[in-house]
Amino acid sequence: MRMGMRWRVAAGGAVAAAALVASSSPAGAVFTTNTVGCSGSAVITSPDGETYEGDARDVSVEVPREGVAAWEGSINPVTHNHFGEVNLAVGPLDVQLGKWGPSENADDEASSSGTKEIPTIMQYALPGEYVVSGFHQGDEGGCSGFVVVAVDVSPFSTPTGVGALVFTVLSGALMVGAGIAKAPKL
Amino acid sequence: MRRRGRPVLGAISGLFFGLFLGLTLFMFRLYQSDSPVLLILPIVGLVLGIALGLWAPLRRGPQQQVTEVVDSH
Repeated sequence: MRMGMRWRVAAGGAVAAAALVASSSPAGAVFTTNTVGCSGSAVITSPDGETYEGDARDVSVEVPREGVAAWEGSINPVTHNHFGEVNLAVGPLDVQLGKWGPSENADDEASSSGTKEIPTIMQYALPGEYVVSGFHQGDEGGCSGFVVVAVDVSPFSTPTGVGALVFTVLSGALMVGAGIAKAPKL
Repeated sequence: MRRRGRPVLGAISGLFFGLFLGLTLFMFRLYQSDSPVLLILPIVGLVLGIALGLWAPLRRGPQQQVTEVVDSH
């Protein structure tokens, strides 16, 4: 199976698996539509050996900032001429993390699996709960849903977290300073 | 005489205060990444900063005021 095709089938098979591949984070998902039996799961193993599991039916899942994710996804029935995408929600905006298709899926592939190492940049990501949404649509139907990816770390344990806290205090102090009346000009 | 603070400083610092406050609240999981709060807070901070700078409700310390009065004579 070609890698590109495998990726697309996996993504089409499970929004959760697609989110995992695109964002390199494990994911659980809530399906808002699912007419082609999308399913998927992922298990991440952190460097200290702790495992984090996510299934396509989960609402949210905790994830580490480092590790290797083993993912799998499937669809039933198989879709053809399919396409889809995965987006990260930032406020009311959507930032596209990945897309696939259109693909004929001439090989009638219905499932796939693989492993993915979490990118280094995840070590600097702010802790918090990230909402990732996605959809897969083919001739036979499709599925869509969202996942909540919770980065498992204390806000005080990362440079970005500490930086955000420090700048909050500094900018707040400056704003208060702006409210102090200037000396009157006599 | 009409008091006046620093509205430009207030606008800039208010904008960043809203932005970083939003990120801080996000880090403590008070809301998720799809919340409009992430965009609303910087706007509120901007408006609040400008308002503070124009209104200037805070007075300078008495030591500074005395010094200025003495200097003016």
